[in-house]
Amino acid sequence: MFAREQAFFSAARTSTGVLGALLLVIVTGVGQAAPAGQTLRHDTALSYRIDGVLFQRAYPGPALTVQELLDVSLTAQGDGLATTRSPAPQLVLPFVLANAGNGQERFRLFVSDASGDFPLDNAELYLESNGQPGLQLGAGGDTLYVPDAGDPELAPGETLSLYVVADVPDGLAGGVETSLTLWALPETVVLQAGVSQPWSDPLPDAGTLYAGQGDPDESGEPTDAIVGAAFGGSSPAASASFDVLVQGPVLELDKTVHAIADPDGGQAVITGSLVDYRIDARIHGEAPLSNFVLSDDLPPYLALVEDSIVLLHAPDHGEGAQFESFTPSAVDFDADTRQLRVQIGAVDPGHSFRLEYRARID
Amino acid sequence: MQRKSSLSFWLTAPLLWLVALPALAQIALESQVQKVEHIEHDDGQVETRLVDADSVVPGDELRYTISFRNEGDEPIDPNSIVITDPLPRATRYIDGTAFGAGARVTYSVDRGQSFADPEALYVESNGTRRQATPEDYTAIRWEFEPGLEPGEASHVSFNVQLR
Repeated sequence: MFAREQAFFSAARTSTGVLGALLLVIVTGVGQAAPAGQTLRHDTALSYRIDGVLFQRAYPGPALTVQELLDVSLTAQGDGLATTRSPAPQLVLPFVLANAGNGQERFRLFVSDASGDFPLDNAELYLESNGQPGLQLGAGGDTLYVPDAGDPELAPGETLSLYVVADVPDGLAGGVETSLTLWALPETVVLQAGVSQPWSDPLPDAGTLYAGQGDPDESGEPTDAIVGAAFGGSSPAASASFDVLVQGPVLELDKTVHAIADPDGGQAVITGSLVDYRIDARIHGEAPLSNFVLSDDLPPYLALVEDSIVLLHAPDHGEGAQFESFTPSAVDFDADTRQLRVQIGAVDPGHSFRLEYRARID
Repeated sequence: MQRKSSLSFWLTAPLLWLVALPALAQIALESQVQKVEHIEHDDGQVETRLVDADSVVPGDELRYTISFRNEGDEPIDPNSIVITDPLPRATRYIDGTAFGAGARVTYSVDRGQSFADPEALYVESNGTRRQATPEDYTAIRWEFEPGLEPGEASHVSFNVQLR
């Protein structure tokens, strides 16, 4: 049972100095990940004295072979949320795949049908392959994924950018949402567990062992492959989802008084003063406004000055917006409700409107 | 005179070797490695089990146990037994797991060139000097105060995580 001392001993007077030199030989390096197939060696150095005479030697310990861990990490970029408009051709959903195991492994990729308020049409998966960040289509662009034949092979720790490209249908209302899930499974899991639809097929539990299916060890013999934690729980790390939200229009309104003129030539707010109002409307979001109407209620002490209504339009926002005159579909002032209504119609997001009118204080 | 003295040495040297030889087998040592499994039960209690390390993968916790016994006829001197264990490659030491009854435990961050208590260990990281953490340790040393009588045994152990 016990390894017996046989040949190595020393009668050196000092122990730690000599032992330190001995250790330098034993230690082969630390701080690296343990790749599949690596032999994990362990040695012990012992020294002691009998009647003052020093004895020391190194004992070889047990050697372990590191098996292959099948693990994967898949993440949806941008927090997995994409806001879009309807329609939106070739919406790009970026993912990052990482080999979280310790062996060289090919990965099979699966794109699920979108589930939610609407489908995503013509979904295709591309692999980053041309060295340029982001998706490029066409000649010299990234590679369209072909299952099996095009399964990407990654070294331990290596990552790969993936892009799902799909069309958002026309005619969707703002606020509708759908979800698309991408799966990445080590090919060993696919073949050994017979997985063809990871969203419905049973996945192996963490710790499942596939004998002889791992990378070779230092003598060339295959190691075992052991399923990692990426497949456990309700949200396995082997999958990642993108939520696609058709964003409704967002209207930003800002009403100001930009000029006052009193009957005496001053700027006092008194009876007879003329007040110039300005309403700025900025349309944000992704979806268009279908029937945009700007309205404003005048208080009883204000009388709308006839022919003072001006509507301006700018195709953008901000201080540099260049406003030009815009003809509304209709302008109406209801004397009973004292409501001014300016009908504009369909408006795309990103545009700005400015309504100006004058009122007199009665 | 001088010649006689030299002759005397060569005659007595083989006898000294014969006397010393039994001491070669004085301490027998054996290393064992097991996998440590922590199992959480429904009541929140965590049970620790030691199982065979037949199959290890990154993330596994391993316990190395080094047992030794004085199989000779002479006692081992007090304050003389020193066990030094380089951490296996691609592992990180798990803080607080080094065990050795009656031993002072020190650590190395320079691959066994020097050993010290944890608070006295420093490493260079990105051009700055900082206190070493257990992840920086590269070797462990046990220095025993007691000796070891013939037939007496003891052991040390430590846990690591496979990177």
